Amino acid sequence: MKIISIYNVKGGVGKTTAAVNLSYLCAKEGNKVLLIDFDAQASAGFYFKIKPELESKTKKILKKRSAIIKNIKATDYKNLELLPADISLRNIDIKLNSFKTQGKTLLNVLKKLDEYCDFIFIDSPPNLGVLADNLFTASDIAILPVVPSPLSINGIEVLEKYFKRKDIELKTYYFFSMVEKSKTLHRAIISAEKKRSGKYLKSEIPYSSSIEKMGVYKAPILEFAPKTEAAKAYSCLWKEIKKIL
Amino acid sequence: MLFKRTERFNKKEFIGNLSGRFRLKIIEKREKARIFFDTFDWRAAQNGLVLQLGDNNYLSVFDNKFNVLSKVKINLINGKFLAKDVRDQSLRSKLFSISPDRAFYLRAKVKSKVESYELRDKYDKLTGIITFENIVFKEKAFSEFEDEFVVSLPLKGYEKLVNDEIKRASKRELRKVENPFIKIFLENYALNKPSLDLSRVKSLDEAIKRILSYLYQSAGLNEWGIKADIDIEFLHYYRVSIRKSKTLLKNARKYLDGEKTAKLNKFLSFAGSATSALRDYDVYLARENEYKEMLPVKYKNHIDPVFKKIKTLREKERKLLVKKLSSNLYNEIRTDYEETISNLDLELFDKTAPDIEIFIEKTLQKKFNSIVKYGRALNSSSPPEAYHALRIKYKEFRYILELFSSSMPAGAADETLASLKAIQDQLGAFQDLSVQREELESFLKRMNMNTPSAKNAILAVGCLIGEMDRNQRNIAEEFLKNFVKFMSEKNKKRIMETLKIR
Repeated sequence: MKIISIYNVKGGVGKTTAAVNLSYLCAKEGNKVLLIDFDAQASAGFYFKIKPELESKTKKILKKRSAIIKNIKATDYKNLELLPADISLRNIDIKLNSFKTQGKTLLNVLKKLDEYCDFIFIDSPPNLGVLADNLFTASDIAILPVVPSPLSINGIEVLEKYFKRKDIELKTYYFFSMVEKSKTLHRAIISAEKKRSGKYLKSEIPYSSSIEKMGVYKAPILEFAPKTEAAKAYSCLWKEIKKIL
Repeated sequence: MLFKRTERFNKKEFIGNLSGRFRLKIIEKREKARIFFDTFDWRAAQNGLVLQLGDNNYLSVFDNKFNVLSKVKINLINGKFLAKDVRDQSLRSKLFSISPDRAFYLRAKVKSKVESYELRDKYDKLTGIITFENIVFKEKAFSEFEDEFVVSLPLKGYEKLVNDEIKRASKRELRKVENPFIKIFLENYALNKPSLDLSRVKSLDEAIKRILSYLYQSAGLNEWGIKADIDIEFLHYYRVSIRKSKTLLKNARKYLDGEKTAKLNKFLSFAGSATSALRDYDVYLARENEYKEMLPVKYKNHIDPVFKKIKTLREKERKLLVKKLSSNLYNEIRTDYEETISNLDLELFDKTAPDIEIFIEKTLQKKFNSIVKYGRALNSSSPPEAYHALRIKYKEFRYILELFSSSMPAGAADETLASLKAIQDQLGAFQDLSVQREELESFLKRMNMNTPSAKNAILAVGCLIGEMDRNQRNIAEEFLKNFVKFMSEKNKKRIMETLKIR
């Protein structure tokens, strides 16, 4: 089983759309995939027409494998299931802090799903707290969407410093998201960043109205607009990630 | 989850009630065939698996609750496959543990009318699928079956919602059932035997006619499997049908017309003798591993040339048998046999023919007395032929008991057969060892002795024969002990009371 976190300390960079489309592509290849929505906004569930849980279940889920299995919901797509978010995720850092296992709480519970699925994708909230520490320990790889803007790049630099300070050895890869090649600033940042760091993947997800329409169709982009540039870009991105894995 | 409808279930009302909670969208409405694969003895079904062959040779494997466990493409050779030939590793090991040697092939074909609906909630989220299925099983020689079922397949996380709504919408007029299809086949159509019910038959002539037709049908049902070489049990069941027919004719001969009996026996003798050599080879080959287990490690592989030779001889014999079963001569005598049975009437029987109960009682008494007589004459130095003679008597007793069991009080035949099981098994094992020992020697004679492998094979066979002798002596000793127990006054009295033998 491989655990892939879609993460960024900054919000609004395309984490959820990436998590939804990548997990969909992975499941389409016949892998049994679980997407975990750790974002209290419950956007991943929204894209799969699954309503968020009203009951607070976070603590139970962090403790028991059976609680995870019980709360998993099938999506409309074969092999793809979702652990929906619930409102108690707002306080997930506090809940994680209450465990003695500290940074390994998530790892301990997720590794119990080894026989349940082949891949776990985690849609994480913009957070650099206890949940993030847990994600860094539990994940095999973290994929970071980066918008080619100064603020987003600043977020990446903050994260890199944090990893260095905490001695975190997690494999991390970045990809540019919401790219508008017509903008000089985007082109300049992409070029400079790819020179600065070897962690950037080749695939770039364009800024596209099709991606925004995911909220209208409530489906992965490959379901309703498979021939668009954005859909093709996600397919290429998934291919690159598979090679790394 | 599978449901069976009660008589008060109203489909239209049910769909209407469900529509109040879900958006129903029809996704399938068609007639299709359900093709169930299994071994000769339904091993997959008995282990809770349903194997269904779909389009393009895709095999779907379900559990009893209709959850799909696997879906894999199967390479069929002559309409069958073995567990070891399945490419999917997890399914291969599952099927191998159920049936390492028996072939999986078409065991039942069912006509099915399917109507499926998606159940979507108010967010348009798919929560499950509900299917109405009408199935019809209609096949020559078996009684027809028709029924309608409702199958609900809730998606993960929506089980409670969907099942609660089904319960509510059906007004509790749907009852949960385990997989109905396979259950029906296991109960009624297993082991290639049509049903034989003599409970309402009052006269002996009618009973004999029915039994002979039943056995003829049973033999016929297995003929294709012999020709296709799917499983050695087809031949075994064919031969058992022939032997049972012979036993019945032998025991009822004094009430039968001699000329017609001769006609019937002509077919039975032909079928029996044509198939005996192949059955012997099948038995040897089925015991290959058992024989190897008897040998010391250094001789285990030396026996391989013997089995190689047996395999060659078996294939030759099989081709010969297929030729015989397809011959004009066989067709002629079989047609003659079929006509003779269908034209059996009262004229065939002596007017003094007894009532069915008296016939059963007298015949069983006679057979039982023979078992006692032959059994008592045995001792540890008796020749194998004496054991074989007892076995024949026992088999005749068993066949009559089995054939007329539906005319007897419920459970009477089963109880007696169970009490004779140990003796039957020991006599069978003893006889098999005698025949196989002799035949192994004859195989050696037919092999080219000038090769080093033949010399090694002689050593291995010698060793095997020694081991078989020891086993046979042990079986004889055990048998004699068991027979003393069997012949105890208490046991004899119990059997006689059960069978009403005076």
